[in-house]
Amino acid sequence: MKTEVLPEKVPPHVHRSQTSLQTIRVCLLTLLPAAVWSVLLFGWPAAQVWLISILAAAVTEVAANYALTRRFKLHESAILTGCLIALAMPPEVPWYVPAMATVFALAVVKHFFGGTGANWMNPAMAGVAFAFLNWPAFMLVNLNQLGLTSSGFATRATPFLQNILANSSVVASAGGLSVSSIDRLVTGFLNDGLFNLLNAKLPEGYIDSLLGFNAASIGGSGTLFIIIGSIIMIARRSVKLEIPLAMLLVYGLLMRLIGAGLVDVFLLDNNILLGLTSGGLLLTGFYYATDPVTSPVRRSGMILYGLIIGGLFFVFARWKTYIEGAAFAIIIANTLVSTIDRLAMPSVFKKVGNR
Amino acid sequence: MKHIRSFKHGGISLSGQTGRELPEISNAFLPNHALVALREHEFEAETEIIVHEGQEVCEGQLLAKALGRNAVNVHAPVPGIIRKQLSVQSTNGFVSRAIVISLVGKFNLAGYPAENKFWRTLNRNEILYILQDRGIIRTATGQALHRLVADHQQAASLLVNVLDMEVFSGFEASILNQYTAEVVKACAMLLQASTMTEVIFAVNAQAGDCRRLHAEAQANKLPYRIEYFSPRYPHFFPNQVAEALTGHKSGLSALFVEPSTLVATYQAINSNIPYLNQFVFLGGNALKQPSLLKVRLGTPIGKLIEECGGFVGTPDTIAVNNPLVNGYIEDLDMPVTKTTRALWLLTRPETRQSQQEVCMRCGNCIKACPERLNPYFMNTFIMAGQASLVTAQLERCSGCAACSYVCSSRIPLSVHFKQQQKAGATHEN
Repeated sequence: MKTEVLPEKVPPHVHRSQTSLQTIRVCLLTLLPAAVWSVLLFGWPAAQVWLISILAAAVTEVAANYALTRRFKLHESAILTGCLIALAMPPEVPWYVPAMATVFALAVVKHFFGGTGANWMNPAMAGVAFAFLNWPAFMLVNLNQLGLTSSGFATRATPFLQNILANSSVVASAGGLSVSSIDRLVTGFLNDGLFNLLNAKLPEGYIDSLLGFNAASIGGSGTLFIIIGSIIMIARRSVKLEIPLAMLLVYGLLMRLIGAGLVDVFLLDNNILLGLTSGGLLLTGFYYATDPVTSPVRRSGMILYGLIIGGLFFVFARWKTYIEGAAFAIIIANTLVSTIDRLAMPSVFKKVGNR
Repeated sequence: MKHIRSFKHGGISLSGQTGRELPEISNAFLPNHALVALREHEFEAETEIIVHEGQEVCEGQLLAKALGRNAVNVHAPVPGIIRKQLSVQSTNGFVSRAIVISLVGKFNLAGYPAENKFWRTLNRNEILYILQDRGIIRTATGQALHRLVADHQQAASLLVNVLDMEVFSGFEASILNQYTAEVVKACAMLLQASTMTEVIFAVNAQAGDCRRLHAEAQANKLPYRIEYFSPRYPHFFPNQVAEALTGHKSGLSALFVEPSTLVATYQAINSNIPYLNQFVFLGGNALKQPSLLKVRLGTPIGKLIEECGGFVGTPDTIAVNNPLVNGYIEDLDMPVTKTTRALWLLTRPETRQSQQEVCMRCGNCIKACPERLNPYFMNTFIMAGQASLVTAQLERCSGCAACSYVCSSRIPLSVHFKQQQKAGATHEN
């Protein structure tokens, strides 16, 4: 066992419990259920994406550290970057897409710009954008083609998923959206037990969306686990909560006002809840946008940053530039962070900032 | 219904670590060899030693005379023989001369009924002279009390900071509880020595009732009020107390003193006893029995730990006074001085010491800063060698270390700021 080198003793002699390493480790742990679920749903291809991303992240981090500092060091944040890239990939991409995305993210975006804690652009999002721009054919898996009845879904689903959905009379409900029998069961149960009492009715389709039966990417499949993970992170206060809240607020409002939705008009017609449960919006809000290194440090700046991301995300999703507009929304917002930090500075600092 | 006050911005909650039970005060054993430090404050002038090696001294005899502006007299805490003079490193990082006294002979103050002077007839200069002559200092800072009173002639009120050092334990509240009459009378003495017209007791809102304090103050016809504060660190720093009371950091003109200082003041003026005893709180999980001891100055710290039952675990750090701000000790032979008020024997789970990491921009330090500063930016500038750009901010930093406490990368922000403040001060000179 290697002995820990303790820093020179300086006050304060007591500290708050969390360290940044612990935060990263907890974040990794909260992604574990989502990873397992995605492998159950999509089978070996999803597992391959996970393994390749993590392996590429570890190798790149060690190599970059050795090249720059002549020391072998693996920082956990690199693994986290690899995992976040894997989450944004569709399961059926060739192996070199996540690998190259991860190498680009860590070597170019993170280490060439100063390494852990110093990079200005979110490395995971930069890697995803890199993959989008280089291999658009693989990355642009349209949700439309993956409806539960479509042939695309049949080739993708694992035996596990086939079993779940066996004897499920996949029915076309209002708007042509097909739902599984699980969805009908759970929705019916919720309607009878809870929403009836409130004189409300939950439409069908949400449960499918939450469990990721019609997801486009690995991350989109585990929305339920992403929610659970987010709750753990918020409870530990290790997430900049202002960012996702502002983002979800502006996204929901725009969704309601301008209408139509994430991917297709008929699917999410003015429906905030369905928008929130699908397409990795929560993943973007709670895992991608809250990267502490590339987001503002002051509370007012965080809110502004969240608003910008939410607005851009909606624009990209509504007018279908890309399905995963998240990467571009976050990268554009990243470029504004130093300006936001300066705007949000208290007056005593203004003199310094304007130099 | 009491109105609970608090400062506006930032601050950290130490509620998980704050013990609320008030410890009883007990007397510590006398030291066989007392090591008396001759200087309590970094900027204090050296005192002139008027005893020589081998000389026999009695309890309370003058050992060193104050000559400089901020100096106070030093007295023998125990009767005995002067063994030698030496230099000691104080816990605050400066070197002070010290005298070793071996305990021999008879006590001529302890154990006898204290005399009662008619102190109400004393005028201002007489009171200030007694304070200097009996070696009374403000225990929180080590500044000479007579100097502070003289410098605060414009102050409107005397603020009794019962919150002081209340990081884990309200031991000042304990002292106030046990010595209520003495503290109240000492307040009256200080009012008599200055133009201050009011006494404000700043107490913790959760600390229980203040009926004894009310009764005692009314009996002494003291112009007083009691203000309740919510225990959110750094609630006892002067700026935060002022902000909580008036809404402005500069809104309060007051002289801050602590109950422990006031007890010494009372004994000096009323009974003519020099500053010989120190209240020291010992706490932390590595200690068997947390206790509040009344200790003779110069007692080695190891002896106090023995008195509390010794160690129960391996202490990671033995911190002195405020564990967020002040230093630590490595040598258990170090003596109790007039500014040693608390010792924390902290175990590893309490200190949560960890490897320093790079800044992750989590923004916790900004949320925690009670002065509305941006420790993240200040540290970035200092690390880049551009400290001159943040001079105005560094001046506003009170060094409460709330930022370093919450830093998840364990960056010693407050230490960096303090070094820069010192560097800036020497640069100007």
